Amino acid sequence: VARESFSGHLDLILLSALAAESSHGWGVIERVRRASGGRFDYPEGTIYPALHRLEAEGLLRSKWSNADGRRRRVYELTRRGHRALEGRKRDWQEFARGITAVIEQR
Amino acid sequence: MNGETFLAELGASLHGPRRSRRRLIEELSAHIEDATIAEVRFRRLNRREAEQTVLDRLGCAETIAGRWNAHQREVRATKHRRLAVSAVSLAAAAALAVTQYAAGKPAAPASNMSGQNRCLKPTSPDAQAQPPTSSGTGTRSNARCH
Repeated sequence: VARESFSGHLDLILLSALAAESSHGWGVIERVRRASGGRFDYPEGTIYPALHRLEAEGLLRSKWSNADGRRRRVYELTRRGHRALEGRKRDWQEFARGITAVIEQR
Repeated sequence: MNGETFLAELGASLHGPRRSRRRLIEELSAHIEDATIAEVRFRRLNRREAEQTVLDRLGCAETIAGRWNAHQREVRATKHRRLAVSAVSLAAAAALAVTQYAAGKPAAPASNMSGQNRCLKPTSPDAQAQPPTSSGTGTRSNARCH
């Protein structure tokens, strides 16, 4: 999948990846890779500025956590983040239905 | 390029508060470490190859810094907008207060009493002693504001 398509839906992808379980940046990347079957091609480092931005918007919160003797920043969705995710999911589903209807018309 | 060089190069290109920049670098450092260990374990690469694979997937420092700096510019612009709105509100309130003061009216009532009620209050014990007139104008003529 093209980088532009991925970037355009990055917030939805990150919020979805964190909805089920809180995780650190690398965990989020791994979860997205597994769930998508490795279909997305993007520079993984750009996930981190996006996580910081979503936190500044109040959709995520984070804290340092120590595991295996290493410090990791763990992110989780806020209540506002859950609401935003529901709204963005609805928008995406509506958009996808519209595109599908157009490309499958005979 | 190894992880340390990459992080140093990235750190030098980042804008914004020092604390946030340090946090980003720490997170990326942890990412490189975790991902390198996973590559060594699951793909049986040596540490150097594993780290290089991880850095390739991470993207170039310039791209990451570009995304980060764009967000920092937005944050700064929002702060400036809020500051400008506060300054304009403050200036408007000050101008209103000065105008009202110049017109001889108080800028804001000191109590719940309206300005008219205060004017109707007698100003001296003599005024209090005067009998009320039928129209009430006698009392009003003693008011301070008229």
